[in-house]
Amino acid sequence: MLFNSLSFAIFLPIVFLLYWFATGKNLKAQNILLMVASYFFYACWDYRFMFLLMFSTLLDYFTGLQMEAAADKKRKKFWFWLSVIINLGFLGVFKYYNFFIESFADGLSMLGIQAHFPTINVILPVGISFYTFHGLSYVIDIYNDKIKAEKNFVDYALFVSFFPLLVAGPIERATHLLPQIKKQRSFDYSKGIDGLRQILWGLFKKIVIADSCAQFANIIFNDSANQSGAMLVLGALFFTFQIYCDFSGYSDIALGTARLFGVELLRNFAFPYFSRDIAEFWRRWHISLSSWFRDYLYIPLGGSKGGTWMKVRNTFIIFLVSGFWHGANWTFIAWGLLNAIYIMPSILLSTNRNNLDIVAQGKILPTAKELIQMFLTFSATVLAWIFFRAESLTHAFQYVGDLFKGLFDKAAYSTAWQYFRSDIGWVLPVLLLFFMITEWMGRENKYAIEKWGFRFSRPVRWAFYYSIVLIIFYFAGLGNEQEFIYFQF
Amino acid sequence: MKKFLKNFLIFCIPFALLLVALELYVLYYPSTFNKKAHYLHDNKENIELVVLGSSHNQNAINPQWIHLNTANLANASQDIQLDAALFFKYVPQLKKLKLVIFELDYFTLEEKNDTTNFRLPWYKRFFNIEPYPISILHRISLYSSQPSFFNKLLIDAVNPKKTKYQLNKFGFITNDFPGVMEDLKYDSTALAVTATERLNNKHIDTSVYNLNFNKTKLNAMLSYCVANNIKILILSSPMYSTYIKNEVKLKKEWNKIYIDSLIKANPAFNYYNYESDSRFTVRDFKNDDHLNSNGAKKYTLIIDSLVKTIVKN
Repeated sequence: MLFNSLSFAIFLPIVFLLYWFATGKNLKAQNILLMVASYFFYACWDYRFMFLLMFSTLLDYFTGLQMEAAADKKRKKFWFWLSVIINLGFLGVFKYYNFFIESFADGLSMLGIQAHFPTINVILPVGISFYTFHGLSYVIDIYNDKIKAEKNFVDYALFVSFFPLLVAGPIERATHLLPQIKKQRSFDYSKGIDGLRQILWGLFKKIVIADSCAQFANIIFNDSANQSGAMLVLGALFFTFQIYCDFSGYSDIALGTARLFGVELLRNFAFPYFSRDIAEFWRRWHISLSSWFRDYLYIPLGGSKGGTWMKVRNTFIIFLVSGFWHGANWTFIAWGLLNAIYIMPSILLSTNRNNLDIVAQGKILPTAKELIQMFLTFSATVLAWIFFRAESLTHAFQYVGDLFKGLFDKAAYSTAWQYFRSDIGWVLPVLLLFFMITEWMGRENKYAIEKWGFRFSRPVRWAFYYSIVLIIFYFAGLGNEQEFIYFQF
Repeated sequence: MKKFLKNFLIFCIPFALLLVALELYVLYYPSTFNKKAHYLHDNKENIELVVLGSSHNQNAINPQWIHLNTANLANASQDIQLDAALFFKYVPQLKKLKLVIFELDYFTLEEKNDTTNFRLPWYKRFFNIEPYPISILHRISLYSSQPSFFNKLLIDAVNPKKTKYQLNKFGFITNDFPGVMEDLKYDSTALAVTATERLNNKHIDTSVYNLNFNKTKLNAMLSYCVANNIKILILSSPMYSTYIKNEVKLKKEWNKIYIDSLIKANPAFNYYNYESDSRFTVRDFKNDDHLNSNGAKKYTLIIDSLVKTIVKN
């Protein structure tokens, strides 16, 4: 059940109405309803994987209780590692087994040894990377005595399976979400409206921008060997917008949906393409994952406390692991590595915390320096996305190598421009421009249209929302629907 | 909460109205489906000839040029299962029916829709037949069956630069839309050079299951005709040479074996193969496997003279 599907448009109001009206605002009933709805939501993908989710939930719930009840540190450690090994084991089998086996066989073959290992033919359970990380953060926090084990199974199961975040995050923390699950929730009109507004903007990003860009990006990437440099640049730009609008659009829908149920999820994106350096980009892109790696990997490894070498090593580790988290392909590892290289100068010069504020805060336009910084950061990001999107490392290197092919060929630019405004005419370029301006104007808020039109009267605000809905309807009708990219992770 | 729901519902009213308007448009705009259905329903007492088949017969046989009162029920992607559903729903009601034209082109016997064909709800809505299961949503809303198709239709309808479909009372499209033949200026060399890319994967699937399934359905229709003294005309429509060259030999052989055995067992069946008929030139085609309105007129007149002979006998 995709967020941008008709079935979700039916599912959400039903659950919403039942939640606020049929449960008598009884917290226990509300949580049970949300848990059942979440499992139903997950079963719509593939009911068989529901049992995996159940098992993972039971495992972490049980090991959490055992850790807390453990009489000594050794026993606590045993339960902790049991949970970590089984959780990562599932992830390893479903997501990485074939990659390791094939890479190992390739490695042996380079040494002249021909080996054939059996691979497994399984579909990756949707959301496994996300709910595994939910569970891991929970057991790690218990192990580190940061939180108490949750006694109420329904509350814990809801923490893991809450449907807005189940399949693609944000990756929540028990310290943030569990207290909200346990607290009486009441409906707040302004939060409800805010939730709907964020859902609307998420749908716009996904259906209008991401899915349209995907059409072009796919064509160019799938036939990159026969494209001019100008077209390849265009393809990389399309993918850059696609992945941002796809994932941040999903996150907006997730956050907005959760807000309708009185739950605030962690923010996942903060206008990353307006970053002035790579460190800032990573504080603004997939924030829940970056902070997860910071808290559960970077800091335990020593963080930045152990001198320059330790900082460099730990930075490379988290970027490589982050790349690998995205998928079992060398392209993701290369993407992680490239980002680690990008961020290295600021780590070495300790300038990685230079840009903690919002760019051009309180102003309409950035300074020339900020503009150049943003352009350079954005360009570096676009280059890195090529590795993320490519089918293989060979494909990525071929794509990057061909970027400068026909650099001074006017005809190639003309073709690329014609292509850009073909199909649906000027509509996409105009919408992209509108999108970027709206994002820029709203960059000081949680999401671009959070406070849009507050100073205008209702008819003006509604006219704006109606326009957005109509554009969404139109683009949804084009039948270009794509699955959310991050569902595969 | 009440304020939230009230405002939300008020906000949704224009969209609800828009959806209703879209649904009404989809139901009542003059499409081939509703024109054909209306003609059939209004003339049940007088229909003498029924044409079944896919877009090949849909584009090739214009009832306007046939001397009998004809209902051309052929539609795009209409397989034998849909043919049979239409046949058994309507043929028993057509008291004056003298003849049924069946399409038996090279691909027909192995073609079978699945439930994703977006036109299936249209059959339910306009002909009240449901040989394939249709979702509840598509039963309620025809627009939902293919929003992109209807959006484009609506946008084209209000775009003065777009050529509009012109349908006659039989639901036959009488004006020509640019097709590959016109695009390539009827240049046979250009058409041949680009054929492989254009016809890649076109009608190449082979399936013994579909073959047997369709044979059973077709045999049932033929038997009904025989039992009810309704004449049968089986046709293979004209195709352009590029399409013929792209045909899969195995499929063609299976088709031939079936037709030969059918005719051998029933010498009274009238089978005519116009696939490679040299009377049809490149200028008679819209694309590789569909006649344009000129070709349709030429073909229909040939068929009409056949019909005259068959009906007289």
